Amino acid sequence: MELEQIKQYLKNSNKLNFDINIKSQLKELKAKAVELNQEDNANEIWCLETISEIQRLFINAFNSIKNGQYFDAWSSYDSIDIKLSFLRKHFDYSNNRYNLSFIEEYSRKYQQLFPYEYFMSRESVIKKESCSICGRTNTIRNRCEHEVGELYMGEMCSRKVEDMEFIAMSIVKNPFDKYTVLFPEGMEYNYEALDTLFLGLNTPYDRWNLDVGKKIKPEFAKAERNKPCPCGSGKKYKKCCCGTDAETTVHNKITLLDNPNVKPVAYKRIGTWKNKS
Amino acid sequence: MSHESYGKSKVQIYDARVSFEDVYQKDTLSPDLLEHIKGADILLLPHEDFKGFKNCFPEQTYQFYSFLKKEAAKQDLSVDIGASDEEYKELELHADVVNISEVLIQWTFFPIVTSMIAAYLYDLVKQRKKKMNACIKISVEKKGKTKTINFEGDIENFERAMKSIKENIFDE
Repeated sequence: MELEQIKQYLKNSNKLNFDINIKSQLKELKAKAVELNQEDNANEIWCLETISEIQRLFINAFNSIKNGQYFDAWSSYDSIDIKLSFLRKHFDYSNNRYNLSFIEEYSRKYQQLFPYEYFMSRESVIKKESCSICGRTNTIRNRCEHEVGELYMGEMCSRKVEDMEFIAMSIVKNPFDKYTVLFPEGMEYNYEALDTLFLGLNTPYDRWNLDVGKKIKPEFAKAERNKPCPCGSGKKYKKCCCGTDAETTVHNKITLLDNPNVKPVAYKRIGTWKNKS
Repeated sequence: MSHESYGKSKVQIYDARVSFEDVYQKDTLSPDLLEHIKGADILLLPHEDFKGFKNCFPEQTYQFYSFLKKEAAKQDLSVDIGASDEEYKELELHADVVNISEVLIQWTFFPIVTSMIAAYLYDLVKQRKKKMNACIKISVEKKGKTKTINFEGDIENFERAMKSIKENIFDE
C-alpha cells in the first residue's frame, strides 16, 4: 500500500481486525523517507505508525476481554494511554481524527471497570544515561542537542538508562506504570462488571455511557448516629464513618447507546475478588 | 505550619533545611563550579538523603532543568544545580505524582518562578490529558531567613495556592 492508501485504511473507524502488514509497510516507507533525507515525511510516518499501533491495541483489547484474557486487555489500554501521550505533542487529533478521541475516551472508561487496585512500583537510582538518537552519554549540564519526546528523522528521542541501582519494590495504589498489577496467590480477580457490559456489546466501537457516582454501602444503610459504627471500630457511628468516604462505594451506571434492546441489569454489588466456593 | 487547603491540596510553610550559603559551603564542588553556582538566581536542590543516597534529584529533573533554563533566560535569570555532574543522580519512584526538584530562590523571584513552574506543570497535564497531583518545594530567602513552601495536591490548584503566599511568612 502507498502512504495515501494506508491513511485511508486508518481513517476507516469500523475495523474489527487489524491488517498486520501495515506495520511493515509503514516501516519501509519511513526507511525510504530517511534515505531521501525527508525528515518531515519520516516524522509524519512516525505519527501514522503510532496511530496504527493505537488502533491495533484497541481492537486487541476488546477481543482479549471477549476471550477472558483480561490482563492482556488491561496492558493494551495502558499502552494506548502511553502512546497517546507521546503522540499529542506531534499530532492534533481533535475532531476525532483517525477515531483517536473515541479510543482515548473508551480506553479510559474500560479501564475503570477493571478490578485492579494494587500495583508494584520500583524504586531505583539512575546514575548514567544516553540519548537514543545519537548515543551520546549525557550529564545534567552537558547534553546533546536532542530533546526527549521530540522527533528526529522519524524516531522519537528518549533516554537510555545505562547505569542504575535497584533499591526496592513498593506496593502502591496509584503507580505511573499501571501494567504492574499484583496477582496474589490463591486469589482471583472478579471481572463481573466487564462481563456484564460485554453481554451488550458487539464491536469495539459500540458506544456506552459510564456514570460514576457514590452509593452508601448496605451495612451502613440503617446505621444510627449513636449506635456502634458498622465498621467494627467500637466507636459511635457519628464519631466514626458517618459522612465519610468509608461508608460509600463507587457506583457505576452503564447505559448502552447502540444496543438499546439488551435486557437491563439490576443494581448489584461487585467486589474486587471472586468469592471462593 | 499549615498554610491553607485547596480542595485536596495542601500548603505547608516551615524553616528551610538549606540556604544559599549552605550550598556554597559544599566541599564536593570544584572552585569553577562553585563560582558558577554562586552566580545562579535559581538553584535546584537534591533530596537531603534517600535511603543512604546523596545528591538524588526527582526523576525527569533533566527536563525540568532544561525547561527552567529556557524560561529563566527570557527573564535574564540563571539556573543551576546544587550538585556536580558526577554527583548528580535521579531517583525513580514511579508513583503517579509529579515530583519536581526543590527550588531555592530569593523571595523577590518568587512570583516569576512559581509562574514558570506552573507553566511546566500545565504542559505535563496537557501531555497526559488527565488530572495529576504534584509535590513541590520552593525555598525562599529574604534577609538571612529561609522558608520552605511545600505544596502537595492537584496541579490545577498550584498557581492559585502560590499567589496566596505573602511576605509575612518570614515574620513567623
